[in-house]
Amino acid sequence: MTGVDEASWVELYRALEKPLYNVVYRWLWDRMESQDVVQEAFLRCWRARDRIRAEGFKAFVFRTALNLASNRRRRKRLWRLVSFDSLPEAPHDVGGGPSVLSLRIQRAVDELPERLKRVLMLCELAGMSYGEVAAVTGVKEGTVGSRRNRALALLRERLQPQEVMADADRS
Amino acid sequence: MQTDLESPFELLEPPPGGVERMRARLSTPEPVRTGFGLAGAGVAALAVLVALLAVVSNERNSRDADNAILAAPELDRLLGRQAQPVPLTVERDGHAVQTEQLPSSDPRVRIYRVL
Repeated sequence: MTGVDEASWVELYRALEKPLYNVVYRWLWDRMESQDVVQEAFLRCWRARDRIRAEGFKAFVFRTALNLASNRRRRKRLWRLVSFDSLPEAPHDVGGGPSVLSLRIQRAVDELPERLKRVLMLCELAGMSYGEVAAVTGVKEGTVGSRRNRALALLRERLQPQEVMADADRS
Repeated sequence: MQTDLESPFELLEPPPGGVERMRARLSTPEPVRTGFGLAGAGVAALAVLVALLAVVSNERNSRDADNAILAAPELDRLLGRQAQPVPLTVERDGHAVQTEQLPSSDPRVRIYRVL
């Protein structure tokens, strides 16, 4: 992408910010930190723009953002472990914590294995085709399909029992 | 700061002002990676120091070895030095025994008796 100027780069950012942000948010569960990671990914790609081909840019920036988010999440968990922090995983808003449903969703998504989670979030939140997800994750398209189905099944399984129990309590 | 989700795949709006922040960050000069630079310089300095110490140590060992060779009594005649008598040590069954030097008519021959 040699020769691309800052204005065009900002337009690329404008086009990809929302899908990238939504994917990264499912790793960090923090709005400002997620946006920071998205921008950091764009900055890294900007610095490496001479080595990136235009057709591979989207995969490159998503892969960079996912790796950054994953590393940051790992670091946060490690830090929490080392500091024996007993606070809940996600920070709360000043005006009250997240809803029970939101926390359940977060826990279910967090418990997905990384390779399944990547595929599922790229398909569902970035609206990528199996081919595009394959380019980001480096696996075959068939594997993308099977991982997505497996991830969906796991997510459904982890979210369902409590709903069933809640329904039973209501009846 | 966290957002409540109604479903795992609910699409959220990013915090406002992202484009402006991105533009500002792009305009900021790339930070120099001093961390790696300093670490690299430290490693290089350490390598030079180790190499210097190795050279000095080798030189000293070599000089000591040269001195030991030159001081060897076997070289006395070759170097025209006056031979210095070497203290005699005799061992029997792994234990040192005392000796006594006896008079000799030939200055090149020394005679000892084991006590």
